[in-house]
Amino acid sequence: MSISKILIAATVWIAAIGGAYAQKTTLNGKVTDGATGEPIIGATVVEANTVNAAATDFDGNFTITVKNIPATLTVDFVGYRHQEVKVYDPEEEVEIYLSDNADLLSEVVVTGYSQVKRSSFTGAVNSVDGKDLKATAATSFTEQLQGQSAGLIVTGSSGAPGSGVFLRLRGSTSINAGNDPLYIIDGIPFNSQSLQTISIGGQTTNPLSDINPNDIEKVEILKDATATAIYGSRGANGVILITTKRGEKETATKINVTAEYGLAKAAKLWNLATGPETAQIINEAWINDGKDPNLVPYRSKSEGGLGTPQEQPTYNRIDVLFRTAKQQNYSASISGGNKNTTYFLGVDFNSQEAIVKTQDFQRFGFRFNLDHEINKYVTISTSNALSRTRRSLSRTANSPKGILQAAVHQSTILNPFNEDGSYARYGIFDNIYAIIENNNHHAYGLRDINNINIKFKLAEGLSFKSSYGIDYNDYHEKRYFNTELADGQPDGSATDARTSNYTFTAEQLLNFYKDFTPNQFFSAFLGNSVQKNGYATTTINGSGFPSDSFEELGAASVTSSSTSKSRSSLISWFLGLNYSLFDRYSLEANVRADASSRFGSNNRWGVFPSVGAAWVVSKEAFAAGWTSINALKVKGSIGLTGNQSIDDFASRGLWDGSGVYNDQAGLLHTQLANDDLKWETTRQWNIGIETGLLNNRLSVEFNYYNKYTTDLLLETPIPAKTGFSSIYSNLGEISNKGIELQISSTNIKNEDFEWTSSFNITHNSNKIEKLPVAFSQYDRDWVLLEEGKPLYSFWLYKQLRVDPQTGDAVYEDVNHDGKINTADRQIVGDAWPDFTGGLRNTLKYKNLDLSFLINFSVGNDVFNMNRFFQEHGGVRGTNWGLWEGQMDRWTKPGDITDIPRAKTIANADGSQNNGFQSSRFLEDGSFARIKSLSLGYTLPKNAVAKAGFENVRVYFNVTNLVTWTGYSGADPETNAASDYSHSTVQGLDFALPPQPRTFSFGISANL
Amino acid sequence: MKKIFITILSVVFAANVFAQETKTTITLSVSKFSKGLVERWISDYEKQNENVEIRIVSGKAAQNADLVVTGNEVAADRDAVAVAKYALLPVTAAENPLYSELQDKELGEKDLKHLFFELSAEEKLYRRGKALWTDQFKVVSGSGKNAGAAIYAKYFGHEAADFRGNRIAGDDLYLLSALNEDKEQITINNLTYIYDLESRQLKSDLTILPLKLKKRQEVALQSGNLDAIIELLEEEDVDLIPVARLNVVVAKASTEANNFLSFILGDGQQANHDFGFLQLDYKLAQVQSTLISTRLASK
Repeated sequence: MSISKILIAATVWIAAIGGAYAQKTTLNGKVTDGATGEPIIGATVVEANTVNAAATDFDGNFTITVKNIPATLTVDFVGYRHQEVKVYDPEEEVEIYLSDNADLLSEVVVTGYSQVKRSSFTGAVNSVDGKDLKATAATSFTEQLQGQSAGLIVTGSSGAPGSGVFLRLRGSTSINAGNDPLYIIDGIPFNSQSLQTISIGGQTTNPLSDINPNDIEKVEILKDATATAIYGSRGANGVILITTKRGEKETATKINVTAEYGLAKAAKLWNLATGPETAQIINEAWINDGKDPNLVPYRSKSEGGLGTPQEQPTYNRIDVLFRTAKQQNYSASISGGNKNTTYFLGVDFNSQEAIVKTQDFQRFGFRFNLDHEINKYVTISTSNALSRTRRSLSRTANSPKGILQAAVHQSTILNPFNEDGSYARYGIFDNIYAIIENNNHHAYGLRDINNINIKFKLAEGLSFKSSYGIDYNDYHEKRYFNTELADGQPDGSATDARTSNYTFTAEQLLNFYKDFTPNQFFSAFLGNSVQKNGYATTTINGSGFPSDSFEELGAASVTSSSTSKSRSSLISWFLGLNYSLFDRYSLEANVRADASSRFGSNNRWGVFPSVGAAWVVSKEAFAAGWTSINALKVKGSIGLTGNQSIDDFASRGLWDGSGVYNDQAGLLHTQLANDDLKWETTRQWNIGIETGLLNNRLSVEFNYYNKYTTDLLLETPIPAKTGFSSIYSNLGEISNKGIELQISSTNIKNEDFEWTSSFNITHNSNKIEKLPVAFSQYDRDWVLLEEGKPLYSFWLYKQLRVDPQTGDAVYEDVNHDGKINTADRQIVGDAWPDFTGGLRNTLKYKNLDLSFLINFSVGNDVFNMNRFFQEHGGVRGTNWGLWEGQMDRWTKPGDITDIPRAKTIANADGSQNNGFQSSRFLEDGSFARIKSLSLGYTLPKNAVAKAGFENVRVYFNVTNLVTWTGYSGADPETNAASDYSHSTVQGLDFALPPQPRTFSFGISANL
Repeated sequence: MKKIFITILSVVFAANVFAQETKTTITLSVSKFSKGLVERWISDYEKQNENVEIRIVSGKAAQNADLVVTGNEVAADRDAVAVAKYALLPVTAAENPLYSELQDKELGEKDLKHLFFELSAEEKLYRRGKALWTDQFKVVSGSGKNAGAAIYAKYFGHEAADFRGNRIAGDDLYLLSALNEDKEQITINNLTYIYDLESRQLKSDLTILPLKLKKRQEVALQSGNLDAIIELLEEEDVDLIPVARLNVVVAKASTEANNFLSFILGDGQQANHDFGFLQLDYKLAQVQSTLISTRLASK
C-alpha cells in the first residue's frame, strides 16, 4: 500500500474516532405542569451528574446536547417535585410533566381532636419520631425528648434511673397550680402525678417511666393556643401527644426483637478536702476566731490535741458509694394485619442499676393495640398497656441521714468505723457502710392504661366516635430501718404506704370534613367529655420491732396510720372549625367549655376560645418566580387556656376528723372556703413563619409567643389571727415571652450517603407581673417569688468581694444601714436559661448509620448547696466535710480570692464569712452535652435473609458522652427540690447523683 | 431537432403528472406501539387500492399528517375514529428480588394505587405520614405524549404526573429497557410490548404483577398466553385492567381517508390480534362507521 493511501486511511480513521468522541446528541423537549398542562418557564434541565444545563423558554421548550443515549435529565423548578427522566430515543420530543411539591407543608399534624395538613394548620407543633428517642439510654421518653424540640426545656433532676424530670413548654405559668404539660397517650389523658409519699430527701419518681419508650411511634408537642385550647383546662402548659405503635393493614406478621446491655458510670464526682486539709482549716478557724492559737484542736497529741494536720488520715467514702452500674433492656413485639384487622403486641423488660449503690429500677411492660373494621361503616380500636415497676430507693438530697450525705458531706477526717469495728456515726449523718449494707426501701408500681373506642362512618366525611379510657396507677412503698441504721434506733422503724389514683374519661366526638371543590376544604368537630379522678392513700408507720428479722408492720409494737381520699370531676363541651381555601388560606377556630369540681360553686365553668390563621405565601402567583424559597407560610393564633391543677377540694371549707381535745375526738377546721375560686387563665398568642429553601432541603420555622397568665391560683397568706395561715385565692399574674427557631436540613443525599441535621434554640423570658406580697420558698428561703422578677429567683446576700486586707467577705449593704441582715438579701440570679436547644446530626452510608445529639443550656444559674455546706470554713465543725475549693480561701493580707478566711464568728456588720446565704455559691450552670451518640450497622439483607430475618441491626450507644461546663459541681442539671410543693424551686444542687455516662451495645432484629 | 426534443419532454412530463395526479396520498403519524398494526393495515389496503399511497411520516412532517394514530384520549371537538383497543398491565422483571413480597398477594385497586401513585392529600392526611409496605417498590413510567401512563393513571383516578418514582421519555418500549437496567422497578405497559407477538407468550424476562381477579380471569392472565388475555378482555370488562381505544384523529378529511378508515373497521380488524390489540366490539364498530359516513363524509 502506498504511503499516500496509508495516510488517507489513517486520516479517515482518526476522523471517525474523533467524530465518535465529539458526537453528541441534541434533545428537544418540553416541560409542563402535570395538572394544568401549562408550560413551565425557566425550569432547569440538567444532564445528570454534569454541569450541562438548559432552561425552558416561554413555551416550556428546551434544547440540550448530551453525551450519550440513554441520557438522564433532571428537572427542577420551585414549587414542583424534582423529576428525573431517562431518554432512550433522541428523535422523539422529551415531554416532562412536573407535579406540585407539597412535601414540606403536606406533613400531617395531629392537634386536638382532628388531623390536618401542616399547610393548613395555624398553630405551633413539633413532632419527634420514636426512632429519634432510642439513642438516649433512659427509663422514660421525657428524658429522651431533651434537646429535640424548640420551646421545650427538659432537665433531669437526678442521675438515678426512674427519677423525676423537670419539663416545661414555653415557660412556667403558675405558682401553686401545676406547670406540667398535659400528656395524652393514644387519646387517654395520662396522670403524671408522682404517687410517692415516703420522702427520699427531695427526689421524686417519674410516673412516665411506666411507659416503655420502645412502644412509642411518635411524640407531638403542641405549644400554642390553637393547638392546646381545644384541651381547654388541661392544655394551659402545652400538650404532649404520644402515639404508640400499631399494626399495618395487609402486611405479613412482623416480629421485632431487641436486646441491649450497658454499663454506666459517673463522669464527674466531687472533690473533697483531705483529712490534713480539713484539720488545717479547723485550726485556722480557731485562730481567726481569736482563740488561743496554742490550743488549736489539731495540735500534737502530746500536747493534748487530736494530732497535727499532717498526721490526719483521709477516708474516701465517695468511692465506696459509686459503682459501675449495669443496664439491660429486652423487648419483643409482633405486629401485622389483614384487610380489616391490625394488631400490635409488645413486651419489654428494663433493668437499670443506679451508679449509686442501693438504687435501681426495673420495669416489666406489656402492650396490646388492636384495630378492627367490622364493616365499612364501623371500626373498633383498643389500646392497652400494663406495666409493673420495682424501685430500690435510698435518701439523697436534703436528707441528712441519706446515702449521698453519708458519703459526700461527711468529713474525710473521720473514720467510718469505731475501734471495735462497729459503724461510727457523727453528728446528723448516718454511716455509709451501714446504709449500703442495710438499706431496705422499695417501691412497687402497677400501671394500667386502657382505651376502647368505636367509630361510626355516618356518611362521606361524617363520623362519630365514642371513646372510653382509664388510667389506673397503684404505688406501694415499703421502708424498713433496722437497728444498724440511725433512723432505726432503738428498735427498728418501718413505713408502709399505698397510694392509688385513677382517671376515667368518656368522650364523644362528631367529626366532619368535606372538599367542597378542589380548592376548598372544611372540617369541623363537636364533642363532649366527662372525666373523673380519684386519689387514695394509706400510710402506716411502726416502731418497736422485736428484732431486725421482723420487718413487717404487724410485728411493730407501736403503730400509727393515716388515710386520705379525694375525688374530682370535669365536664367539657368543645367545638372546632377549620376552613382552607386553595390550600393557601386557612382559618381555624376552637372553643371549649369546662366545668371543674375543684372550683367554687360560683365559678365552675371556664370558656376557652382560640382562633388562628395561616397563609401559604409560596402558593401565590407572585411567588411563582421565586428561586430560593420553595415554601413559605405565615401563621398566627390567639386564645385562652385554663389551669385547674390544684387540690381537689381547694375551694371548699374542710374539717379534719383527727382533732383531739382533752382526749375527746373532735373536728378541726383546717381550710377556709372560697366559693369564688376560679380558673387560672392564660391568654397566649403566637406568630410564626415556616419556610422551605433550596429545593426543600432546608426547612426553617420561627415562632414568637406571648403568654400572660391571670388569676393565679395562689395559697395566699392571711393574718394568723384568723386561725389560718393561708387561703386559696386568685391573685397574681405571670408572663412568658419567647422566640423559637427550628432548622432542619438534608445536607447530602445520594444513593449511598445521606446526612441530615436539625437544630433548635429557644429563649423564654419569665416574669411575675403581679404578686401582692413576696413569698420565700424552701429551707433558708433560697428562692423568692417577687413581683417584677422571674420564678425560680435566688434570694441571697450579694458578695461583692473578699477584703484583701482582712480576708472577710464584703456583702452589698442594700439599705446602707451599716448592717447586713435579711433586709439586704436580694435577687441575684435565677434558674432560667437564656437559651436552650439541641443539635442533631444523622449520617448514613450504605449500611452504616451514625447519629449524635448535643443539647445545651446557656445562662441558667445553679445554687451549689454542696459548697454552701462544705465551704464552711469551720462553721460546721469537724462532722461536715470540706469542699476542695475551701483550700483557695484567703490566708494572708494581699490574697485575692472570693473565698473568705476560715472563721466561725460573725463579722462586724453582722454578716458571716461562711455558712451564709452568699451569692458566691450561685454559679453559672451553662452547659453543652453530647446527650447521645449512636453508631449502628445493618447487616446485609442477603446475609440475614438466609437465617429468616428481614433485617438485623447492631449498634453502640453512648449517653452523656461529654459535658462541657464551667460549673464546679458534679452535674449542672440537678434539682434537690423536685418534690417541693408545685416545683417552685429549681436549680438547687445538693447531694444528688449526677447523670451517668452510659455505654451500651444492642442488637435489633426484624423477622 | 430542438423543437422535437422539447415536445417529447413535454409529453413525458405531462404523462408523468397525469400519472401522479391519479394516485392519492394519505400521510399518517403513528404512535410507535401501533406501528406494526398500522403498517399491516396500510399494506392490506394498498393491495386492494393501488391508486392510494399511504405514508407514515415522522418528525416535523408528522405535525401536518392527514391522520394521526394515537393511544391517547381525544378531545371531544376533534374528529376521531376508534380503530382498535389495547390493554395495559402492571409488570416487572422476572428477576425482581422484591417480587417475593408480592407473589402471595392479590393486588386490589388500593394496592395498585399505593404501588404506582403518590398518596392523595386525603390519604396522607389520614395515614399521618406513616410509610406504606408498597413504598419499597420503585416505579418507572413513561412521560411521553403516547405513554400509557396517562391512560393508566386516569383509570385509577389520577394524573400521569402522580406516578411515583422515575420517568423515561420516549416510547413505552423503553420502559422494558429501564426494567432490564434496574430489576427492582415495576411499571405498566401494553400487550404489544409485553408479549412476544410471534410465540404469543409473555416475554421470558417479564412477569405480571398478581392481581385480585375472578378465578377465570386469573387463569387467563396467569396462562402467559396473549390470545387468552385478548379473548378474555374482548368478552368482559375486567376490573384492574384498563382497556383504552386506539384512535385515528382525522386532521384532514378526504374520501380516500374515509375509505381507509372504513376498511380498518371492517376487514382490517382481522389484523388486530396479530399485534396484540383487541378488536372493536360490533356496537362500537357500528358507531364508528356511522361517524365516518355522516360527519367525516360531509367534510
